[in-house]
Amino acid sequence: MQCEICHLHPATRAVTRKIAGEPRELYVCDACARTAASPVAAADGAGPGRDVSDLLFSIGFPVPASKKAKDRICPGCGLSRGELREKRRFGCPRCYETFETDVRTFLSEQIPAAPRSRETPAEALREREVAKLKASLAKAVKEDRYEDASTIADRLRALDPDGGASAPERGDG
Amino acid sequence: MARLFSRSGRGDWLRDLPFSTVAFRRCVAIHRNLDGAVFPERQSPEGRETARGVALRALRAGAAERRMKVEELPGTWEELRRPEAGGVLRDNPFEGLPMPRDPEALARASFATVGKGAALAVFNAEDHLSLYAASNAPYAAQWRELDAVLAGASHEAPFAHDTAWGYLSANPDHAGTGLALSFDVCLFGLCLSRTLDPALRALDRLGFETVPTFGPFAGDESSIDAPGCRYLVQSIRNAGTERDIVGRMDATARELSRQEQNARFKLLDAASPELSDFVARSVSAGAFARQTGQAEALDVALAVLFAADLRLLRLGARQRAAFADLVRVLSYAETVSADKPADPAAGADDRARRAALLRPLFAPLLPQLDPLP
Repeated sequence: MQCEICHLHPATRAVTRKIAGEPRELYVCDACARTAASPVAAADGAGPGRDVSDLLFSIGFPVPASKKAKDRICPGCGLSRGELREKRRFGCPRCYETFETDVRTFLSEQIPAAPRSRETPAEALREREVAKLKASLAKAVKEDRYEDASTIADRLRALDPDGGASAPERGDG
Repeated sequence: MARLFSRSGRGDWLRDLPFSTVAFRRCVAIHRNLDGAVFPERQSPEGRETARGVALRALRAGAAERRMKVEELPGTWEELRRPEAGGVLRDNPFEGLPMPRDPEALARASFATVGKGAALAVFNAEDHLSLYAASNAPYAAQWRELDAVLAGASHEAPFAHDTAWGYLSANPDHAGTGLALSFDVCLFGLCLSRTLDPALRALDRLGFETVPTFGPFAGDESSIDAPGCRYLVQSIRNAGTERDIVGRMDATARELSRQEQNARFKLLDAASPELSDFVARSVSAGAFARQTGQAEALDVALAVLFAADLRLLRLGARQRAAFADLVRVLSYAETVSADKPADPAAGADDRARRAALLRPLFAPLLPQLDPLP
Protein backbone atom coordinates (compact mmCIF):
# COMPACT_ATOMS: atom_id res chain seq x y z
CA MET A 1 0.00 0.00 0.00
CA GLN A 2 1.37 3.42 -0.92
CA CYS A 3 1.75 6.31 1.47
CA GLU A 4 -1.39 8.42 1.41
CA ILE A 5 0.59 11.64 1.54
CA CYS A 6 3.46 11.28 -0.92
CA HIS A 7 2.07 8.28 -2.87
CA LEU A 8 5.67 7.36 -3.60
CA HIS A 9 6.87 5.10 -0.82
CA PRO A 10 5.19 2.09 0.82
CA ALA A 11 3.17 2.92 3.91
CA THR A 12 4.80 1.59 7.05
CA ARG A 13 2.78 3.13 9.87
CA ALA A 14 -0.65 4.39 10.70
CA VAL A 15 -1.03 7.85 12.19
CA THR A 16 -4.07 9.91 13.09
CA ARG A 17 -4.50 13.45 11.81
CA LYS A 18 -7.31 15.88 12.15
CA ILE A 19 -8.64 16.54 8.70
CA ALA A 20 -11.35 19.15 8.50
CA GLY A 21 -11.75 18.85 12.23
CA GLU A 22 -12.38 15.11 12.13
CA PRO A 23 -9.77 12.54 13.22
CA ARG A 24 -8.74 10.35 10.37
CA GLU A 25 -6.29 7.51 10.17
CA LEU A 26 -3.68 7.85 7.48
CA TYR A 27 -1.23 5.23 6.26
CA VAL A 28 2.06 6.94 5.68
CA CYS A 29 5.72 6.20 5.10
CA ASP A 30 8.36 7.00 7.71
CA ALA A 31 9.45 10.17 5.95
CA CYS A 32 5.97 11.65 5.79
CA ALA A 33 5.34 10.68 9.38
CA ARG A 34 8.19 12.97 10.34
CA THR A 35 7.20 16.02 8.30
CA ALA A 36 6.16 19.02 10.34
CA ALA A 37 2.87 19.52 8.53
CA SER A 38 1.10 17.35 6.02
CA PRO A 39 -0.08 18.92 2.77
CA VAL A 40 -3.46 17.32 3.35
CA ALA A 41 -3.91 18.96 6.72
CA ALA A 42 -2.53 22.25 5.43
CA ALA A 43 -4.95 22.14 2.54
CA ASP A 44 -7.76 21.63 4.98
CA GLY A 45 -6.65 24.62 6.91
CA ALA A 46 -5.32 23.12 10.12
CA GLY A 47 -4.72 26.25 12.14
CA PRO A 48 -2.58 27.23 15.07
CA GLY A 49 -4.99 25.69 17.54
CA ARG A 50 -3.72 22.18 16.83
CA ASP A 51 -4.45 19.50 19.36
CA VAL A 52 -2.02 17.06 20.94
CA SER A 53 -2.46 14.46 18.21
CA ASP A 54 -1.47 17.01 15.58
CA LEU A 55 1.59 17.93 17.61
CA LEU A 56 2.64 14.32 18.02
CA PHE A 57 2.13 13.72 14.33
CA SER A 58 4.27 16.65 13.41
CA ILE A 59 7.21 15.38 15.43
CA GLY A 60 6.91 11.91 14.01
CA PHE A 61 5.44 9.83 16.83
CA PRO A 62 2.84 7.29 15.79
CA VAL A 63 -0.50 8.25 17.24
CA PRO A 64 -2.82 5.50 18.40
CA ALA A 65 -5.90 5.29 16.21
CA SER A 66 -8.64 7.46 17.62
CA LYS A 67 -11.61 5.62 18.99
CA LYS A 68 -13.80 7.75 16.83
CA ALA A 69 -11.96 6.66 13.66
CA LYS A 70 -13.71 3.97 11.64
CA ASP A 71 -12.21 0.54 12.26
CA ARG A 72 -11.14 -1.35 9.15
CA ILE A 73 -12.89 -4.69 8.68
CA CYS A 74 -11.69 -7.62 6.61
CA PRO A 75 -14.32 -8.50 3.99
CA GLY A 76 -13.27 -12.14 4.09
CA CYS A 77 -13.85 -12.93 7.75
CA GLY A 78 -15.11 -9.78 9.48
CA LEU A 79 -12.00 -9.34 11.62
CA SER A 80 -11.49 -5.73 12.67
CA ARG A 81 -8.18 -3.97 12.99
CA GLY A 82 -8.81 -3.54 16.71
CA GLU A 83 -9.25 -7.28 17.15
CA LEU A 84 -6.17 -7.95 15.07
CA ARG A 85 -4.01 -5.65 17.16
CA GLU A 86 -5.40 -7.01 20.38
CA LYS A 87 -5.01 -10.71 19.60
CA ARG A 88 -2.24 -10.50 17.01
CA ARG A 89 -3.99 -13.19 14.98
CA PHE A 90 -5.33 -12.97 11.43
CA GLY A 91 -8.73 -14.33 10.52
CA CYS A 92 -8.31 -15.46 6.92
CA PRO A 93 -5.88 -15.13 3.98
CA ARG A 94 -7.61 -11.90 2.85
CA CYS A 95 -6.55 -10.24 6.10
CA TYR A 96 -3.03 -10.08 4.73
CA GLU A 97 -4.29 -7.78 1.97
CA THR A 98 -6.74 -5.82 4.10
CA PHE A 99 -4.30 -5.10 6.92
CA GLU A 100 -1.14 -4.85 4.88
CA THR A 101 0.44 -2.25 7.17
CA ASP A 102 -0.06 -4.43 10.21
CA VAL A 103 1.39 -7.40 8.35
CA ARG A 104 4.50 -5.36 7.65
CA THR A 105 4.69 -4.35 11.32
CA PHE A 106 4.32 -7.93 12.57
CA LEU A 107 6.78 -9.35 10.10
CA SER A 108 9.25 -6.53 10.67
CA GLU A 109 9.60 -8.00 14.17
CA GLN A 110 10.86 -11.19 12.56
CA ILE A 111 14.49 -10.38 13.00
CA PRO A 112 16.79 -13.25 12.11
CA ALA A 113 17.90 -15.41 15.01
CA ALA A 114 21.51 -14.78 14.05
CA PRO A 115 23.31 -12.17 11.97
CA ARG A 116 21.96 -12.26 8.46
CA SER A 117 24.00 -14.29 6.08
CA ARG A 118 24.56 -11.89 3.25
CA GLU A 119 27.16 -11.49 0.65
CA THR A 120 30.03 -9.55 2.16
CA PRO A 121 30.69 -6.45 0.16
CA ALA A 122 33.82 -6.62 -1.94
CA GLU A 123 35.34 -3.79 0.05
CA ALA A 124 35.01 -5.67 3.34
CA LEU A 125 36.48 -8.81 1.74
CA ARG A 126 39.44 -6.87 0.44
CA GLU A 127 40.09 -5.28 3.81
CA ARG A 128 40.04 -8.65 5.51
CA GLU A 129 42.46 -10.06 2.97
CA VAL A 130 44.79 -7.06 3.42
CA ALA A 131 44.79 -7.51 7.20
CA LYS A 132 45.60 -11.21 6.85
CA LEU A 133 48.42 -10.52 4.43
CA LYS A 134 49.89 -7.87 6.71
CA ALA A 135 49.93 -10.31 9.60
CA SER A 136 51.55 -12.95 7.39
CA LEU A 137 54.13 -10.43 6.21
CA ALA A 138 55.08 -9.50 9.75
CA LYS A 139 55.41 -13.16 10.68
CA ALA A 140 57.53 -13.97 7.65
CA VAL A 141 59.89 -11.09 8.42
CA LYS A 142 60.17 -12.14 12.04
CA GLU A 143 61.05 -15.68 10.98
CA ASP A 144 63.60 -14.44 8.42
CA ARG A 145 61.63 -15.92 5.51
CA TYR A 146 62.44 -13.06 3.20
CA GLU A 147 61.44 -14.72 -0.04
CA ASP A 148 57.98 -15.47 1.35
CA ALA A 149 57.80 -11.95 2.71
CA SER A 150 58.60 -10.55 -0.71
CA THR A 151 55.82 -12.60 -2.32
CA ILE A 152 53.36 -11.51 0.34
CA ALA A 153 54.39 -7.89 -0.08
CA ASP A 154 53.75 -8.11 -3.82
CA ARG A 155 50.28 -9.47 -3.17
CA LEU A 156 49.65 -6.71 -0.66
CA ARG A 157 50.71 -4.04 -3.12
CA ALA A 158 48.31 -5.47 -5.67
CA LEU A 159 45.41 -5.30 -3.19
CA ASP A 160 46.35 -2.12 -1.38
CA PRO A 161 48.54 0.12 -3.50
CA ASP A 162 48.38 2.95 -0.96
CA GLY A 163 48.86 0.75 2.06
CA GLY A 164 52.60 1.11 2.08
CA ALA A 165 53.43 -2.56 2.15
CA SER A 166 57.10 -2.43 1.43
CA ALA A 167 59.13 -5.54 0.94
CA PRO A 168 61.42 -5.96 3.90
CA GLU A 169 65.05 -5.36 3.28
CA ARG A 170 67.06 -8.48 2.90
CA GLY A 171 69.54 -9.06 5.60
CA ASP A 172 73.17 -8.85 4.75
CA GLY A 173 74.20 -12.13 3.32
CA MET B 1 33.32 -36.64 47.42
CA ALA B 2 35.61 -39.49 46.56
CA ARG B 3 32.89 -42.07 46.03
CA LEU B 4 30.63 -39.76 44.05
CA PHE B 5 33.30 -38.76 41.55
CA SER B 6 35.02 -42.13 41.31
CA ARG B 7 33.00 -43.20 38.30
CA SER B 8 32.91 -39.94 36.44
CA GLY B 9 36.53 -39.00 36.92
CA ARG B 10 37.43 -35.68 35.42
CA GLY B 11 34.78 -35.96 32.78
CA ASP B 12 37.12 -36.03 29.78
CA TRP B 13 34.72 -38.54 28.26
CA LEU B 14 32.08 -35.78 28.20
CA ARG B 15 33.68 -34.19 25.18
CA ASP B 16 33.04 -37.24 23.03
CA LEU B 17 29.38 -37.60 23.86
CA PRO B 18 26.87 -36.96 21.12
CA PHE B 19 24.63 -33.94 20.91
CA SER B 20 21.80 -35.86 22.47
CA THR B 21 23.18 -35.89 26.00
CA VAL B 22 22.61 -32.17 26.47
CA ALA B 23 20.26 -30.89 23.80
CA PHE B 24 18.01 -33.67 22.73
CA ARG B 25 14.89 -34.20 20.78
CA ARG B 26 15.04 -31.71 17.96
CA CYS B 27 11.52 -30.77 16.94
CA VAL B 28 10.44 -29.56 13.53
CA ALA B 29 6.98 -28.14 12.90
CA ILE B 30 5.48 -27.03 9.59
CA HIS B 31 2.19 -25.14 9.57
CA ARG B 32 -0.22 -24.90 6.62
CA ASN B 33 -3.72 -23.61 5.96
CA LEU B 34 -6.21 -24.49 3.27
CA ASP B 35 -6.49 -22.06 0.39
CA GLY B 36 -9.69 -20.06 0.33
CA ALA B 37 -10.74 -20.98 3.87
CA VAL B 38 -11.00 -18.84 6.96
CA PHE B 39 -8.46 -19.78 9.65
CA PRO B 40 -9.68 -22.19 12.35
CA GLU B 41 -10.25 -19.69 15.15
CA ARG B 42 -12.87 -17.79 13.15
CA GLN B 43 -14.51 -20.82 11.61
CA SER B 44 -17.76 -22.30 12.81
CA PRO B 45 -17.58 -25.82 14.27
CA GLU B 46 -19.09 -27.15 11.04
CA GLY B 47 -16.54 -25.25 8.99
CA ARG B 48 -13.73 -26.66 11.08
CA GLU B 49 -15.04 -30.17 10.68
CA THR B 50 -15.16 -29.72 6.92
CA ALA B 51 -11.66 -28.25 6.90
CA ARG B 52 -10.42 -31.14 9.00
CA GLY B 53 -11.85 -33.62 6.52
CA VAL B 54 -10.20 -31.88 3.58
CA ALA B 55 -6.86 -31.57 5.38
CA LEU B 56 -6.97 -35.22 6.49
CA ARG B 57 -7.70 -36.42 2.95
CA ALA B 58 -4.87 -34.32 1.60
CA LEU B 59 -2.53 -35.59 4.30
CA ARG B 60 -3.38 -39.21 3.53
CA ALA B 61 -2.62 -38.57 -0.14
CA GLY B 62 0.70 -36.91 0.67
CA ALA B 63 1.68 -39.63 3.14
CA ALA B 64 0.73 -42.39 0.70
CA GLU B 65 3.26 -41.00 -1.79
CA ARG B 66 5.91 -41.63 0.89
CA ARG B 67 4.39 -45.04 1.73
CA MET B 68 3.25 -43.83 5.13
CA LYS B 69 -0.10 -44.39 6.81
CA VAL B 70 -2.12 -41.82 8.67
CA GLU B 71 -3.94 -42.97 11.79
CA GLU B 72 -6.38 -40.72 13.57
CA LEU B 73 -6.04 -40.40 17.35
CA PRO B 74 -9.11 -40.06 19.57
CA GLY B 75 -9.41 -37.43 22.27
CA THR B 76 -7.95 -34.08 23.20
CA TRP B 77 -4.28 -33.32 23.75
CA GLU B 78 -4.52 -33.68 27.51
CA GLU B 79 -6.39 -36.97 27.21
CA LEU B 80 -3.85 -38.35 24.81
CA ARG B 81 -0.96 -37.49 27.10
CA ARG B 82 -2.30 -38.64 30.46
CA PRO B 83 -0.83 -41.90 31.68
CA GLU B 84 -3.79 -42.32 34.05
CA ALA B 85 -6.09 -42.34 31.06
CA GLY B 86 -3.89 -44.90 29.33
CA GLY B 87 -2.91 -42.06 27.08
CA VAL B 88 -2.03 -43.24 23.61
CA LEU B 89 0.84 -40.77 23.43
CA ARG B 90 2.27 -41.72 26.81
CA ASP B 91 5.39 -43.34 25.43
CA ASN B 92 5.42 -41.20 22.39
CA PRO B 93 8.29 -38.80 21.72
CA PHE B 94 5.75 -36.03 21.13
CA GLU B 95 5.14 -35.32 24.80
CA GLY B 96 6.34 -31.86 25.76
CA LEU B 97 6.06 -30.58 22.17
CA PRO B 98 5.74 -26.83 21.61
CA MET B 99 1.97 -26.95 21.12
CA PRO B 100 -0.02 -23.70 20.85
CA ARG B 101 -0.32 -22.00 24.24
CA ASP B 102 -3.87 -20.87 23.65
CA PRO B 103 -6.00 -23.41 25.56
CA GLU B 104 -8.94 -22.83 23.21
CA ALA B 105 -6.78 -23.69 20.20
CA LEU B 106 -5.60 -26.87 21.89
CA ALA B 107 -9.09 -27.82 23.03
CA ARG B 108 -10.53 -27.72 19.50
CA ALA B 109 -7.56 -29.52 17.91
CA SER B 110 -7.65 -33.12 16.71
CA PHE B 111 -4.69 -35.38 16.04
CA ALA B 112 -3.30 -38.14 13.89
CA THR B 113 0.01 -39.91 13.60
CA VAL B 114 1.82 -40.27 10.30
CA GLY B 115 4.06 -43.18 9.48
CA LYS B 116 3.72 -45.06 12.81
CA GLY B 117 4.72 -42.08 14.90
CA ALA B 118 7.25 -40.55 12.54
CA ALA B 119 5.20 -37.37 12.62
CA LEU B 120 2.22 -35.97 14.52
CA ALA B 121 -0.50 -34.15 12.59
CA VAL B 122 -2.56 -31.51 14.37
CA PHE B 123 -5.77 -30.22 12.80
CA ASN B 124 -7.53 -26.94 13.59
CA ALA B 125 -5.34 -25.64 16.40
CA GLU B 126 -3.99 -22.31 15.11
CA ASP B 127 -3.67 -23.71 11.59
CA HIS B 128 -5.71 -26.16 9.55
CA LEU B 129 -2.80 -28.59 9.45
CA SER B 130 0.44 -28.69 11.39
CA LEU B 131 2.97 -31.48 11.16
CA TYR B 132 5.43 -32.12 13.99
CA ALA B 133 8.45 -34.40 13.97
CA ALA B 134 10.60 -34.89 17.08
CA SER B 135 13.76 -36.99 17.29
CA ASN B 136 17.52 -36.72 17.52
CA ALA B 137 17.80 -36.70 13.74
CA PRO B 138 19.20 -33.52 12.15
CA TYR B 139 16.71 -30.72 11.49
CA ALA B 140 17.33 -30.82 7.76
CA ALA B 141 16.45 -34.51 7.51
CA GLN B 142 13.26 -34.11 9.54
CA TRP B 143 12.20 -31.03 7.62
CA ARG B 144 12.73 -32.69 4.24
CA GLU B 145 10.54 -35.62 5.24
CA LEU B 146 7.69 -33.40 6.44
CA ASP B 147 8.05 -31.10 3.45
CA ALA B 148 7.75 -34.04 1.08
CA VAL B 149 4.52 -35.20 2.74
CA LEU B 150 3.05 -31.69 2.57
CA ALA B 151 4.10 -31.27 -1.04
CA GLY B 152 2.10 -34.37 -1.87
CA ALA B 153 -0.81 -33.13 0.23
CA SER B 154 -0.86 -29.81 -1.61
CA HIS B 155 -1.68 -31.64 -4.86
CA GLU B 156 -4.89 -32.81 -3.26
CA ALA B 157 -5.77 -29.52 -1.51
CA PRO B 158 -3.75 -26.36 -2.23
CA PHE B 159 -2.45 -24.40 0.73
CA ALA B 160 -3.00 -20.68 1.32
CA HIS B 161 -0.02 -18.92 -0.15
CA ASP B 162 0.87 -15.40 -1.24
CA THR B 163 3.78 -14.39 -3.45
CA ALA B 164 4.66 -11.55 -1.07
CA TRP B 165 4.14 -13.22 2.31
CA GLY B 166 4.66 -16.91 1.59
CA TYR B 167 2.45 -19.46 3.32
CA LEU B 168 -0.30 -17.71 5.25
CA SER B 169 -1.35 -18.40 8.80
CA ALA B 170 -3.44 -16.89 11.57
CA ASN B 171 -0.25 -16.62 13.59
CA PRO B 172 2.14 -14.14 11.97
CA ASP B 173 5.07 -16.13 13.38
CA HIS B 174 3.93 -19.05 11.20
CA ALA B 175 3.70 -17.00 8.00
CA GLY B 176 6.40 -17.28 5.37
CA THR B 177 7.95 -20.71 5.37
CA GLY B 178 5.59 -21.94 8.09
CA LEU B 179 8.60 -23.66 9.62
CA ALA B 180 9.22 -23.61 13.36
CA LEU B 181 12.10 -25.37 15.09
CA SER B 182 12.84 -26.15 18.72
CA PHE B 183 14.95 -28.41 20.91
CA ASP B 184 14.82 -29.72 24.45
CA VAL B 185 17.84 -29.03 26.59
CA CYS B 186 19.04 -29.77 30.12
CA LEU B 187 21.13 -26.90 31.52
CA PHE B 188 22.04 -28.19 34.96
CA GLY B 189 25.71 -27.49 34.29
CA LEU B 190 25.16 -23.82 33.48
CA CYS B 191 22.72 -23.55 36.37
CA LEU B 192 25.06 -25.03 38.95
CA SER B 193 27.96 -22.95 37.74
CA ARG B 194 25.74 -19.84 37.89
CA THR B 195 26.15 -18.97 34.22
CA LEU B 196 22.60 -19.75 33.15
CA ASP B 197 21.24 -16.20 33.06
CA PRO B 198 23.73 -14.87 30.48
CA ALA B 199 23.01 -17.86 28.25
CA LEU B 200 19.24 -17.30 28.43
CA ARG B 201 19.65 -13.59 27.76
CA ALA B 202 21.80 -14.32 24.73
CA LEU B 203 19.17 -16.70 23.38
CA ASP B 204 16.54 -14.03 23.88
CA ARG B 205 18.59 -11.46 21.97
CA LEU B 206 19.02 -13.89 19.11
CA GLY B 207 15.26 -14.31 18.74
CA PHE B 208 14.76 -17.59 20.60
CA GLU B 209 12.16 -18.19 23.24
CA THR B 210 13.21 -20.34 26.19
CA VAL B 211 10.46 -21.80 28.34
CA PRO B 212 10.43 -24.45 31.07
CA THR B 213 9.60 -27.86 29.67
CA PHE B 214 8.02 -29.24 32.83
CA GLY B 215 6.25 -28.13 35.93
CA PRO B 216 3.57 -25.61 36.77
CA PHE B 217 5.20 -22.98 34.56
CA ALA B 218 5.73 -25.22 31.55
CA GLY B 219 5.47 -23.22 28.38
CA ASP B 220 5.37 -19.92 30.27
CA GLU B 221 7.83 -17.57 28.62
CA SER B 222 7.74 -15.21 31.59
CA SER B 223 9.16 -17.87 33.90
CA ILE B 224 12.76 -19.03 34.00
CA ASP B 225 12.17 -21.28 36.98
CA ALA B 226 12.40 -24.67 35.34
CA PRO B 227 12.28 -27.92 37.27
CA GLY B 228 15.27 -30.03 36.37
CA CYS B 229 16.70 -27.10 34.44
CA ARG B 230 14.90 -28.52 31.42
CA TYR B 231 14.09 -25.91 28.82
CA LEU B 232 12.43 -25.86 25.46
CA VAL B 233 14.27 -23.51 23.13
CA GLN B 234 12.20 -22.46 20.17
CA SER B 235 12.86 -20.20 17.26
CA ILE B 236 10.07 -17.65 17.17
CA ARG B 237 11.46 -15.34 14.58
CA ASN B 238 11.70 -17.30 11.41
CA ALA B 239 12.83 -14.84 8.79
CA GLY B 240 14.58 -16.22 5.74
CA THR B 241 14.49 -19.45 3.80
CA GLU B 242 14.15 -22.91 5.31
CA ARG B 243 17.85 -23.39 4.84
CA ASP B 244 18.57 -20.18 6.79
CA ILE B 245 16.26 -21.18 9.63
CA VAL B 246 17.69 -24.70 9.89
CA GLY B 247 21.25 -23.40 9.72
CA ARG B 248 20.67 -20.86 12.48
CA MET B 249 18.99 -23.37 14.73
CA ASP B 250 21.72 -25.96 14.23
CA ALA B 251 24.38 -23.40 15.07
CA THR B 252 22.53 -22.21 18.17
CA ALA B 253 21.88 -25.72 19.46
CA ARG B 254 25.53 -26.67 18.93
CA GLU B 255 26.79 -23.57 20.71
CA LEU B 256 24.44 -23.98 23.67
CA SER B 257 25.39 -27.65 23.95
CA ARG B 258 29.04 -26.71 23.86
CA GLN B 259 28.58 -24.21 26.69
CA GLU B 260 26.64 -26.72 28.76
CA GLN B 261 29.21 -29.47 28.14
CA ASN B 262 32.00 -27.10 29.16
CA ALA B 263 30.15 -26.15 32.32
CA ARG B 264 29.66 -29.84 33.21
CA PHE B 265 33.28 -30.57 32.40
CA LYS B 266 34.45 -27.81 34.72
CA LEU B 267 32.19 -29.02 37.51
CA LEU B 268 33.52 -32.57 37.19
CA ASP B 269 37.10 -31.46 36.68
CA ALA B 270 36.96 -29.47 39.90
CA ALA B 271 35.10 -32.26 41.72
CA SER B 272 32.84 -29.35 42.50
CA PRO B 273 31.45 -29.31 46.04
CA GLU B 274 28.32 -27.65 44.65
CA LEU B 275 27.79 -30.58 42.34
CA SER B 276 28.25 -33.22 45.01
CA ASP B 277 26.03 -31.26 47.37
CA PHE B 278 23.39 -30.95 44.64
CA VAL B 279 23.37 -34.70 44.00
CA ALA B 280 23.35 -35.59 47.67
CA ARG B 281 20.52 -33.18 48.45
CA SER B 282 18.42 -34.41 45.54
CA VAL B 283 18.78 -38.06 46.48
CA SER B 284 18.15 -37.36 50.16
CA ALA B 285 15.13 -35.17 49.46
CA GLY B 286 13.54 -37.94 47.46
CA ALA B 287 14.50 -40.76 49.84
CA PHE B 288 13.14 -39.01 52.94
CA ALA B 289 10.24 -37.10 51.38
CA ARG B 290 6.98 -36.87 53.34
CA GLN B 291 5.26 -33.96 51.54
CA THR B 292 6.44 -32.92 48.08
CA GLY B 293 5.20 -30.32 45.62
CA GLN B 294 5.14 -30.99 41.89
CA ALA B 295 8.05 -28.69 41.00
CA GLU B 296 10.24 -30.02 43.80
CA ALA B 297 9.52 -33.63 42.85
CA LEU B 298 10.36 -32.94 39.22
CA ASP B 299 13.54 -31.18 40.25
CA VAL B 300 14.92 -34.09 42.25
CA ALA B 301 13.81 -36.72 39.72
CA LEU B 302 15.50 -34.87 36.85
CA ALA B 303 18.55 -34.25 39.03
CA VAL B 304 19.00 -38.01 39.45
CA LEU B 305 18.83 -38.54 35.68
CA PHE B 306 21.34 -35.73 35.19
CA ALA B 307 23.67 -37.24 37.82
CA ALA B 308 23.39 -40.61 36.08
CA ASP B 309 24.34 -38.96 32.77
CA LEU B 310 27.44 -37.61 34.47
CA ARG B 311 28.16 -41.06 35.97
CA LEU B 312 27.87 -39.64 39.44
CA LEU B 313 25.11 -42.15 40.19
CA ARG B 314 24.77 -45.65 38.86
CA LEU B 315 21.32 -46.47 37.51
CA GLY B 316 20.35 -49.80 36.01
CA ALA B 317 18.23 -49.84 32.87
CA ARG B 318 15.04 -50.52 34.84
CA GLN B 319 15.84 -47.81 37.35
CA ARG B 320 16.47 -45.31 34.59
CA ALA B 321 13.17 -46.22 32.93
CA ALA B 322 11.39 -45.90 36.27
CA PHE B 323 12.80 -42.41 36.82
CA ALA B 324 11.89 -41.38 33.27
CA ASP B 325 8.36 -42.65 33.91
CA LEU B 326 8.24 -40.79 37.20
CA VAL B 327 9.14 -37.55 35.43
CA ARG B 328 6.38 -38.14 32.92
CA VAL B 329 3.77 -38.79 35.60
CA LEU B 330 4.86 -35.83 37.70
CA SER B 331 4.75 -33.46 34.77
CA TYR B 332 1.14 -34.17 33.87
CA ALA B 333 -0.96 -33.48 36.91
CA GLU B 334 -0.91 -32.08 40.36
CA THR B 335 -2.41 -35.30 41.58
CA VAL B 336 -0.82 -38.64 40.95
CA SER B 337 -3.65 -40.95 41.69
CA ALA B 338 -4.91 -43.08 38.83
CA ASP B 339 -8.52 -42.74 39.92
CA LYS B 340 -8.61 -39.05 40.60
CA PRO B 341 -8.63 -36.42 37.86
CA ALA B 342 -6.33 -33.42 38.00
CA ASP B 343 -7.27 -31.13 40.85
CA PRO B 344 -5.89 -27.57 40.68
CA ALA B 345 -6.41 -27.16 44.40
CA ALA B 346 -4.13 -30.06 45.29
CA GLY B 347 -3.82 -30.41 49.02
CA ALA B 348 -1.75 -32.25 51.59
CA ASP B 349 -3.01 -35.67 50.50
CA ASP B 350 -1.63 -35.17 47.04
CA ARG B 351 1.72 -33.98 48.34
CA ALA B 352 1.92 -37.05 50.57
CA ARG B 353 0.96 -39.35 47.69
CA ARG B 354 3.65 -37.74 45.54
CA ALA B 355 6.27 -38.24 48.23
CA ALA B 356 5.22 -41.89 48.50
CA LEU B 357 6.05 -42.29 44.81
CA LEU B 358 9.54 -40.88 45.31
CA ARG B 359 10.74 -42.80 48.36
CA PRO B 360 11.04 -46.33 46.93
CA LEU B 361 12.96 -45.05 43.90
CA PHE B 362 15.37 -42.76 45.75
CA ALA B 363 16.14 -44.84 48.83
CA PRO B 364 18.27 -47.44 46.97
CA LEU B 365 20.54 -44.64 45.76
CA LEU B 366 21.56 -43.53 49.27
CA PRO B 367 24.50 -45.96 49.60
CA GLN B 368 26.04 -44.42 46.47
CA LEU B 369 26.50 -41.08 48.22
CA ASP B 370 29.65 -40.17 50.07
CA PRO B 371 29.42 -40.81 53.79
CA LEU B 372 29.16 -37.77 56.02
CA PRO B 373 32.44 -36.75 57.63
